Amino acid sequence: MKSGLRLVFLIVLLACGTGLLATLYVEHVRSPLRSTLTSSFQLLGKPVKLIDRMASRMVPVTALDERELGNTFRRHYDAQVIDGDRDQDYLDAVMKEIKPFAHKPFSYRAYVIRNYGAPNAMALPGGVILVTKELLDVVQSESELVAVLAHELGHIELGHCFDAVRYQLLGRKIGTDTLGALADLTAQILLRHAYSKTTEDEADQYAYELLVNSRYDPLSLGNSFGSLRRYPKRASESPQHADLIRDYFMSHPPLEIREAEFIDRASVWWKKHPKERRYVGRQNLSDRKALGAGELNSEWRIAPPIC
Amino acid sequence: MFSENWTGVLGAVVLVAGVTFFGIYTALQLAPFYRFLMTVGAAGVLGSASIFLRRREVWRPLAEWVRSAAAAIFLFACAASGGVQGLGLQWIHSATPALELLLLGIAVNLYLSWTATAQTFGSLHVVLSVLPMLIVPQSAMSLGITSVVVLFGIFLSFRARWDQHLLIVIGTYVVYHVSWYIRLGDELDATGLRFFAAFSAIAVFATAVLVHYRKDYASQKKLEPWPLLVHISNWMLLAQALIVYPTTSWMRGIGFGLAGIVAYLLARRARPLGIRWLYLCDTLIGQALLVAALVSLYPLIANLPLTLLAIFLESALFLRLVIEEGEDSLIMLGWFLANSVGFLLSVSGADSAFGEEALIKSQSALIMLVGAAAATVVNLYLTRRHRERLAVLANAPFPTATTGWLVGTMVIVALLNLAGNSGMETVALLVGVCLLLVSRSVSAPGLLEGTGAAVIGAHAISWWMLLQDMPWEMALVARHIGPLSALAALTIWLVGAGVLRKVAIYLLGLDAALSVYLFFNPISPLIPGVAWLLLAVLALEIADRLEHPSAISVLLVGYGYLGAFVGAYALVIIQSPAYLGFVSARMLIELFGLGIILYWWFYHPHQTLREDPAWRRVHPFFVELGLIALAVTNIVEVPTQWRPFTWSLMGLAFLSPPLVRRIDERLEVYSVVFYWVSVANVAVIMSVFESPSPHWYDRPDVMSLIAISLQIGYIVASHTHLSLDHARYSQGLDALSRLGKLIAARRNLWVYYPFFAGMALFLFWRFDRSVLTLLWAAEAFAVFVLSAVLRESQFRSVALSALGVCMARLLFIDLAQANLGLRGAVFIGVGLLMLVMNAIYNRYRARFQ
Repeated sequence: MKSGLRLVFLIVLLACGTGLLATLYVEHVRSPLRSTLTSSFQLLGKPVKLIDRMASRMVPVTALDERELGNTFRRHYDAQVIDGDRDQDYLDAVMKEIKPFAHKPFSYRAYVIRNYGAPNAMALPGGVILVTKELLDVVQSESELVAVLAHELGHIELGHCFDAVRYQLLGRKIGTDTLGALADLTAQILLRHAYSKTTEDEADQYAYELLVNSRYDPLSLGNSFGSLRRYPKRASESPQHADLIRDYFMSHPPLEIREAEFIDRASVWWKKHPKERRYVGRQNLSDRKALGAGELNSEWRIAPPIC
Repeated sequence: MFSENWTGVLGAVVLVAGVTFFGIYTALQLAPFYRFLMTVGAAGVLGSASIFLRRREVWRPLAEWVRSAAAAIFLFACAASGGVQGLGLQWIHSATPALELLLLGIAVNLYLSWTATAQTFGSLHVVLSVLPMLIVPQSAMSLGITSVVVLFGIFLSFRARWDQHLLIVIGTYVVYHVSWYIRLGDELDATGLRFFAAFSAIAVFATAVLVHYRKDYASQKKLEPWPLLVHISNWMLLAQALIVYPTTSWMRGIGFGLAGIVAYLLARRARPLGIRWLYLCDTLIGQALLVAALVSLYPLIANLPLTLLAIFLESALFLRLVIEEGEDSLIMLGWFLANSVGFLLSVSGADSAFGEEALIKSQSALIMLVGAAAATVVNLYLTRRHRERLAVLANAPFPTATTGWLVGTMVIVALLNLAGNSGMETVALLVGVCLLLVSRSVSAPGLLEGTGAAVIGAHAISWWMLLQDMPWEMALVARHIGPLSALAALTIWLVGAGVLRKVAIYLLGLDAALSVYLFFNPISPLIPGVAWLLLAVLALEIADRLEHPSAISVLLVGYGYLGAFVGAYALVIIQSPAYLGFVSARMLIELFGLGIILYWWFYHPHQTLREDPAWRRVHPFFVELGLIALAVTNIVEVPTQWRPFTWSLMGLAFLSPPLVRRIDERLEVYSVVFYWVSVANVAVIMSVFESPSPHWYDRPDVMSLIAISLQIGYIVASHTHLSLDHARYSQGLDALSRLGKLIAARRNLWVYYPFFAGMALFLFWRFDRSVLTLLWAAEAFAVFVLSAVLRESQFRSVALSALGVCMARLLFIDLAQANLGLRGAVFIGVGLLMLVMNAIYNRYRARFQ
């Protein structure tokens, strides 16, 4: 590079760097945790996941098999549903709001699980979502509940949970259960930790996209992580400093990072859409009456929120 | 001695025993006075016998032993007459006559020792004379009599070289003295008794110590064990007295001190006499006593580092004195002693640094600094005055540089004690600069290394403390880092071009990095990473303007800043989701980082830098670093559904001739890799990816279509721009070179087949199975056409094989479809494609052959 051009390049770089520093200084930009390696491991997990998916896609198990598996789960949980259960009815009503976003040929349904002991939600292959009663108590609004359900829907739509049992299903199909279980176990040992952080992030992104394109407040995804983070019986706060081993073996990204990420993104979204109005549904949650059953004017958020 | 006279000794013992038994027997028969007379009579008989035996030469040794036995019996009788309980010989009940009789017995024995011609009898009678004093009640009188007896015994050694005799006499006195001290107990505190006891011991010691300073010993060239043993025993006697009799630490200290000085002066007297062993021995004893004097003072000050400092200073003085005399062994010993104590001083100072009390820490710091100053003076003195003597130390346990290293160690320990004080770095600066100036003016062994260690230690301690107690106010950070940076800068300036200058450059670089971190991390944890990038550019610019080797050190600092940024990115920046306006702050940082990497890559330094391995080995990899940074930015910032598009775009961009020309031709190999990633993304991720967004730009099928279009564009572009036949690769890129050669050899294979396979998989997973045969047949058709265009007969085989699979699927799967309309459409579509293929084959037959 010629010296004149290099000088220009240098001046531009220094100007950009100084400007960036000044902006960061003025804005007091923070990081959710002081230091962590979970995000880096999540990044490293992406190419690993690509390879894993390439391998697992070669397994001749199709969406049709997943639907059959889902039907088996559904029959099991349907049998446990009590008629007139307000929580279950409410979940069914809320699921109607998010089902239209799904593309896979499954009959999606969410089930309430009681006496689980902690707020949690899980996705099973074939369109079955499990939500613990404690989670219904921890989330603060219907939009937060939708965010959680959308996250689980994302796991199913993106094939995460089916990928986890694909080898086992193959084993069943060809009658060598042990071989399939062995393959599954091997894959889990090698890939599970990096893979799970990556898939959690993908499901989060899916949930956020769903919220943005729904009638609900996009802030609710970040808020739902905040509600879970503030859950009083939570084992412990996320450690503030990085630890190579612990961060590698963490199955989920720290709640602090997830909360900050989606609140920041939603805040930008609100800045870009000042005329939008989005539903929160605190009252709906406490009354167990979904938005579809009747909206409350006070539950619409219209002004850009203060974070 | 015993082996030669064992028969005589044994005979005398048996004789005394026999007389004793007989005495006991008669004791039961006679009154005490008659028993005494009988015993004395027995002694008299033996004495007469010895006179008789002495007449004949052959019986003379026996006569000596018989006479000694007689004297012993007489002494026994005299002692028992005055008060030995239970023997039945006590006939005197008044102290004075009893003592007079005892003294008579002692006098007889001492006379015999005086007349003895052999050491054996001399020692025997002195010891026999002391024995009754062990039995009688202890008092100042008993100690006085014993001391006189012993003095008499020592006096005998002045007549001839009676070393064994002297050893026995001194040993006996030591035993007696200990016994006397223990048995006296509380009575010792009576006025003057301690003084008297000490005086007695000193008197005995003083008399004995002079024995070896006679001319008799001047002829002794070699070290003999007996005189040495006697001498040491004598000094031990004095040491024992000095330990037990003084009641206060300062008295004990003064006692040891005076004794040490005396020993040292005596040693100086032995030297002109030519008694080398005595000179060495007393010099060492003098030094030991002086150290003991200082140790004795410890209870007064209760400060171990201060005591050790005093010993260190004394040892340094000792070294100075002995080095003047030129005695090699003493120089080595003094050197060893001074350095050992210096090391212990450092250890004790380090121990207090980990305590809690601030006052003690401040004291220790001061002591260490004084110690460092003293060690510097010693080092300078040795270097300037006795440089030739330092050769002697080549065989010493510590090398000549040890004192210089000690200086550094003591300064580090001092700073360790000051850690946490805002003035620690200022002290480090002042001390460091002083030492640097001294090292610069005088080339003292180890001093520069010690100073360097102190400079490094100051930095390490300060960094450790600053990182431990984060966050800091800006003013405080400046107060700490300012002097520290000044120290590093002055070190660079003051030391010559050596290792220390390099180290100082690294330290200054680290200071800058750390100050940025401490200043800005509390405001925004994202700032340090960006600032380090700026510092990396600054370091590069500075390195290019410096001479070798400083330029290389600064360059390495620049690499370090880049490494620090990578660390900051992996730990802090990547997790931050913050936005600056509508743009992700993280993305801005990533782009800025890419800009910095590009700047490094495009930088063409001067010859100094360009030809150094540190530049030549690392700089070529900035292409890889930039590509990794780009890939990371793509994965982190671009949504999943857009990524196949961006991968393809990057693949295409890296084929662009202007870019390849400006950056490197190996970019073409990476373009293939990026293209493969794009194909894999489309095939594996986009084929099953679902998005809840209704927007076209989020739809996986639309984005896949765009990515596939770009992949086709890449394939087309590769025909003209992918030319790896003559590509050159940097050292260390063997794997890439092999990959490039493989691609160059079979370009169509590596470019087309991944695309064909990726497309087939994408169609398989993305679209409904009912139209899959038609879609695959269309792909087979496209491959078939391509085989004609490219004249690649292999593609035709592949296309026909694929068509065969489509036919099989048509027959075995599609024929069973429930939807008749769809079945028909598929059959028509596949049939038409086959017809067109046939037409093309007939029209362009030549191309297929």
